[in-house]
Amino acid sequence: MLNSDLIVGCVCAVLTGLVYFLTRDLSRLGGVFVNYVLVALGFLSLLLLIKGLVRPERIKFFESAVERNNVLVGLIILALYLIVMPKAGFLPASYVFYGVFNLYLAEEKLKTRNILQSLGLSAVVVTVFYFIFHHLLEVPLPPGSWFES
Amino acid sequence: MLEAAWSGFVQVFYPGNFLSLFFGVFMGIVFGALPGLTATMGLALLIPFTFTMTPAAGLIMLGGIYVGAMYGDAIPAVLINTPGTPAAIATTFDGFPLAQKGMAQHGLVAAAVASAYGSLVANIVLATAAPPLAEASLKFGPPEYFWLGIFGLTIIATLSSGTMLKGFLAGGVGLLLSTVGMAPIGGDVRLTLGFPELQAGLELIVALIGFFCLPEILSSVIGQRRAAYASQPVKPTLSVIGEVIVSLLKKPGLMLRSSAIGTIIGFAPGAGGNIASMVSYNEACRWDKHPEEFGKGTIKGVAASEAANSSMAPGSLIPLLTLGIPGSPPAAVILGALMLHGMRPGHELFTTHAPITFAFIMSMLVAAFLVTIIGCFGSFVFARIINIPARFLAPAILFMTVLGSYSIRNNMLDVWIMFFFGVIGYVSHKLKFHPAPIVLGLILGPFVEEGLVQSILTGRAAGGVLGYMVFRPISLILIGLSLMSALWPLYASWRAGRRPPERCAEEGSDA
Amino acid sequence: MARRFLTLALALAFISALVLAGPAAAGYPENSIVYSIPFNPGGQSDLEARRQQPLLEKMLGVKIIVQYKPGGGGSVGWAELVTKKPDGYFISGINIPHIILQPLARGNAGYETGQIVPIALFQATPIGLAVLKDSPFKTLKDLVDYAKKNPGAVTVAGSGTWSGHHIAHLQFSKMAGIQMTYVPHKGAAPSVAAFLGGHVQALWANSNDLVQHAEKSRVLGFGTNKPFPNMPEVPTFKSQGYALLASIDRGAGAPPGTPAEIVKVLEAAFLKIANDPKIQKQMADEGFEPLQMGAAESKAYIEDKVKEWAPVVKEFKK
Repeated sequence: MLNSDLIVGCVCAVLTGLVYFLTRDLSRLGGVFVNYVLVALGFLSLLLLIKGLVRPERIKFFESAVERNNVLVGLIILALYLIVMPKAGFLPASYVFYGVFNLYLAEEKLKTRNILQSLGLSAVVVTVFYFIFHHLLEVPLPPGSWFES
Repeated sequence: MLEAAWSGFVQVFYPGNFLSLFFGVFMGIVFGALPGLTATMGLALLIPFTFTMTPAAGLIMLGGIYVGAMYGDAIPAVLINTPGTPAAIATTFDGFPLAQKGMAQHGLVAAAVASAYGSLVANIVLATAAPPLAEASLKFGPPEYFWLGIFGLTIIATLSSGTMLKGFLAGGVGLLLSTVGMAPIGGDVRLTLGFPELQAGLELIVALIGFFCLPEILSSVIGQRRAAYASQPVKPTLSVIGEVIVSLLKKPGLMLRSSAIGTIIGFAPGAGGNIASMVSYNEACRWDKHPEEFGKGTIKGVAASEAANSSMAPGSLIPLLTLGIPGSPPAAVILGALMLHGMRPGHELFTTHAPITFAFIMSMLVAAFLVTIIGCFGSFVFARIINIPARFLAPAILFMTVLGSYSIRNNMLDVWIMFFFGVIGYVSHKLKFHPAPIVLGLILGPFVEEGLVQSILTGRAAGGVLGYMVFRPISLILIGLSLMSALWPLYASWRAGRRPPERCAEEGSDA
Repeated sequence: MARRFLTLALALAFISALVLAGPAAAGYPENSIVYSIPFNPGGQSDLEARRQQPLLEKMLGVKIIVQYKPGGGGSVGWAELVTKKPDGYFISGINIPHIILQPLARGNAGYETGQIVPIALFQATPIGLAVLKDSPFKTLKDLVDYAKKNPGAVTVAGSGTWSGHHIAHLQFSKMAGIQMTYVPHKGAAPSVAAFLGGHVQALWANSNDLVQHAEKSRVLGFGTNKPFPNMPEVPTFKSQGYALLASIDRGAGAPPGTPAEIVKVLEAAFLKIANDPKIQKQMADEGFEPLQMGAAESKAYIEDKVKEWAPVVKEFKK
């Protein structure tokens, strides 16, 4: 059981301190608002820390180890997608991402049929949106440095 | 003036004009509905189309886009807890819980009806009282914006689930986040951590997607492997539409108040609809006989939010048409369109160009009706979207949010920021506080800061900062409202005796 | 056998020549060109680009894609511009004094003034100082006299910090030996709104805004050499004894290292538009001053302005 008040209070206090040091070089007009907010934040963090010690609100972060693993894997897949996208280009990365995620969320085992189904669906969904955004609406998308001439 | 209004009304139904209106409303709904795309972007992308049209048809199309987007943003808000534009943040508070209960169609229809209602009210005001209202809107000076921002922040007091302390802390963090980038006054570059793209600050939509959309996916679809987005599937029926319409029309107080709030906030130049919907939601909860229903899925909440953000749109056009000062970013794009067609805002618009201007205003009235029709019937289709199994829907949503975050400012950093905020949003969910106050701080920070520093500058020149900032009519009203808003929870709990205060808590779907 | 080999060799040589030939030789432009606007859609820079877009497309024969990269008063867009390939397929709107003042005033704007290759400057927006019609200041002299007796009491709104308005304010204050309070706003529209609402006593404004609100305001001085055609009765700062030339100029620029041949093609297209009498009339009606400065002229102009403003920034930046 974690003490949510203490955690939030600590994080905010640390944030306040960090921002304080990062903003000492601001001009008077540029920094006045920041200072006011820092004071308020510092004060509120202190109050929350006190509450955390006196009447804490306890929570359970992850209901189970399974949940924790699920979330972590999901985040990793997403992060990989974002890392690969500028390198491989929007389209290829998205195809792979959709397919992988789809397979990950499905409860069935990795049979060839599933993989093909997944990639096929991915191709349709991703291509349709790509077409609408990039060609119809002319929204620029990451080109992919591996393929840039 | 009545004949001008009537002739304008008739003009809307000329085939060419009506077609472009329909097209505009449709595109507006699409742009509003796709998170990452905004009304502003939609308008900017479709302006070139208007070059080949007559000024009337072109402007009518743009008006349609604006109105459509103000409804469209409710669709993802209800279905996937993601406001399609910042104006729909408050719609998620009750919209998403409705979808969770299998009542997604109720939410969508309520949004459509309320959007139309708000649009109607505001357009009538626009058509009849534009010039005097515009003069009034000019009275909003730096102190007024400051107090408006403070008033907005006091909403946190009533909106925070969990401790008020955490809510205000979150608001403070939001204020701090809003300082990233160039200072509005002083020109200092703050907290960019070496990234030149951050000179522009954090992009609001990216924060919205991160705080609202991702945590939902992470916790239910990924974390708990829920098979579908909603706990209960939705079965759209025709009777729901009639049901919702009737129950909303039986609440004129709620609808009128929400529309009024939206119109007024709309014409304070720059304030925009981002806070209108939240203020309206807050007031609706405050004055309702059953405030505990808010946050758990009631169409009243959706209606309050949507009526306000739809009435904001015509409101923001008031200072635009009369003075050439846009009241919101989409209005700024419309200003550009007006200039491109050689129409200068001001007297001219209502005299020389009166036919076109009134056609434009009337078209937004008609657009409101189109929105109801499209929205109500569309609710059949839209609502079913969340019946799609999560393993197909979730990757598609993630893919689209990545697309959307990138396309706003064409940089990859925004996508990473969205990811980062997503993690923070998820963590905050688990730590029992809603990330909405952070977003509120992010939105209101610039108002509060600009108002504060400009007031300091002007006040010092006038002799006394405090005196300058407080003793003005509008400021006094806003200060009064802020005090009332901040102290209301205490008053309510005192009145209720020992029972804990009824707050407009937005319980997360399954925090 | 030898014949086949020869044909193959010739074919290869031909293909490699095509591939290796520089973009200029290959017949620029061939693909669509991205015209990036470092401001929000609907703004003046956007409107100018839209005005030019159909004409550029006709002249250059390729699609012109207008993109937006707002932020930092333009700095985000220019920071991107200087990282793009100098192949002529990515250009950006540029604004003076922004591209000069931003690197000077900020530690790191993401780009340097010298990195941007100017293509042309096609619009000038002279800056004027205005007061409301019912203001006690009837002439510039009234304002200066009052400011001398009450340092800091006169509030003047303007758009942005370290912007064209701000620099004009600083230069004028220095020349007149007075102290006025500059109240920056997030753009021209908010500053005009504050002015019209009476929240400040004076306004630094762009000529098109002054033309639009001519009924409600009185312009005390214009930062031009000769009286502004739309408002010929307004005296220039010069004629009142202050050598202040203030304006916001718009043009187009290319990434560093863009070959001269490509710049020439773009310059020719932009200048043709700038010399079009219909375009000139449109601009003048709206309250702008059409310019027809080519690449070399623009470069020299920018360098002059850098020399003029660098000491001012240094002096006032604390």
